[in-house]
Amino acid sequence: MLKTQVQELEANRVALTVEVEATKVNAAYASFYSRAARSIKIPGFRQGKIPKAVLVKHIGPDSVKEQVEEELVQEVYPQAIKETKLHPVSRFELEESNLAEGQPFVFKAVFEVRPRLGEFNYKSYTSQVQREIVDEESVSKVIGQVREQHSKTEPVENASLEVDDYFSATIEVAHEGAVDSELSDEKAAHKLVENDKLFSPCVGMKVGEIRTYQIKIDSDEEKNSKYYGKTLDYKVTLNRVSRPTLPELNDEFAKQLGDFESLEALKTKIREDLEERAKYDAEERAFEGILDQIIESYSFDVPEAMVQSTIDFFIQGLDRRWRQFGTTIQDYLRNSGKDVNEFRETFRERAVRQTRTMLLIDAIGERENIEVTDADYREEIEKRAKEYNMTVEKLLTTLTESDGEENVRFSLRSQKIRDFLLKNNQINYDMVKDADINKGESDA
Amino acid sequence: MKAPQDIVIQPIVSEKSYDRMGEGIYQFKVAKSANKSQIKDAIEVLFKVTVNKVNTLNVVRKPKRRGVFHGYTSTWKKAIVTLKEGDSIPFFEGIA
Repeated sequence: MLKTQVQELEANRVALTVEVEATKVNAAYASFYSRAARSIKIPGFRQGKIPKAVLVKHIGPDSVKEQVEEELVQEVYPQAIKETKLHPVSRFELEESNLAEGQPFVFKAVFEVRPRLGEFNYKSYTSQVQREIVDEESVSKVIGQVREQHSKTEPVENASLEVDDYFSATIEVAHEGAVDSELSDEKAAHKLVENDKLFSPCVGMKVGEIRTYQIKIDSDEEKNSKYYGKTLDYKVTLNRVSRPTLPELNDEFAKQLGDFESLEALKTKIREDLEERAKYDAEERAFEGILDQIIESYSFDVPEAMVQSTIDFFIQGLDRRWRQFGTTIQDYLRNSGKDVNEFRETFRERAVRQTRTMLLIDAIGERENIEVTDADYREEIEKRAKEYNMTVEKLLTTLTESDGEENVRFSLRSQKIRDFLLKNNQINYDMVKDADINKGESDA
Repeated sequence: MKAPQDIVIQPIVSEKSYDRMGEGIYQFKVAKSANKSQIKDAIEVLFKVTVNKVNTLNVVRKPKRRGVFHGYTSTWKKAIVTLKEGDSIPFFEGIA
């Protein structure tokens, strides 16, 4: 056991004073000298045979002290934290230290700890949220989307070109009689969209027909074109017209999509899924609403180190997303001339709120003794294994190897706390159509 | 006549010399032309101590080879100086 003393300072800061016995100090010095003697080369001495006094003179007494101090603190600090049951959320700063060989070593480490929250109310709030109505129309909408995804585009003979048709054509573009080979294309393939600037004049063309027309290049997007402000002559020969055909809505279609016996079974499944999603979304909004009220009602200081690490988390996530688009935060800061600290500060408000939410949720879990049992964990793993198409044992091994167990347990606990809050607060649902969700919500 | 700084070139700190520093015996690299009494005087002037005995020896050259080039190290003179009991040289303090 170490001799420790804890002193609470202002703003979630704590000073931990630790005393290390002289024998341990001497052992640390001896270990340092022995390692230094083996690694340092001094002319006139064999490695490992350098006397202590020569070593100290070579390395410098201050540097020896600094290194031994660091080693001792690194060794003793975690032990002291464990014994005092503190939860640091920041790195420590060494404020006092009196290291000397042969003497007990006393040091004072100052760091931030998780704030101890007082009494706060987290029950009996009311949250009024919108919940999507799932009806025949919602099911039909999804079926329509699925049909579109399974549509087949096939050539249509003797068709005349209409909006939304796919077509292939030979296009010849000329300016003042000179054909531009870059703009011309023998096997062009396009979809004719509404108000298509280049191909609108082709509406109504039949396969094999040739049509000539003129287009003036004058839009803002074309400002950099060499033909800006000029008129181009188009000659289009239509080679083929294709149209998507939707699959027929019958039992066969349902069977193609999976393990459905009939169209009715498919519709039932879609309805169930939609109901589940609507319930989850509404509960999520309710949960957010309750959290908002708890945060509003109970204010406390959040340790700066936790805010900073939440900002780090936000920025890392943002950077990962930006990298997918081929840019980075560094590039953005360089190009915009913004200071990195200024950029970080823009996340402060969100980070404080997120940290506060996390601390409150955790405190509720502690007060209600909400824990994740091994059975809960096993059940979750079995569920996930089924989803990922893996064996339970394989998933368990993967999670243990990648330290993922803690993450799974954390998310399970958060889920349980969420369920607890939903159960112990009043949730009122306003049933609305999908299109009206979020309309009329005052402070979502 | 040579100045003391030109006679005593550098102290020698090695495993062997270190072992005897506690007995007041120190080793120096000295000018090849210096004799024992010059070394004694130089040490006494430079370090403000009394010298009881000076032993000297010429360190022989050693053959060295770097690739195809053959050569030798320089020869030099070593002085082993015994001080009066109780005297010590501050330069070595903290080491011996």
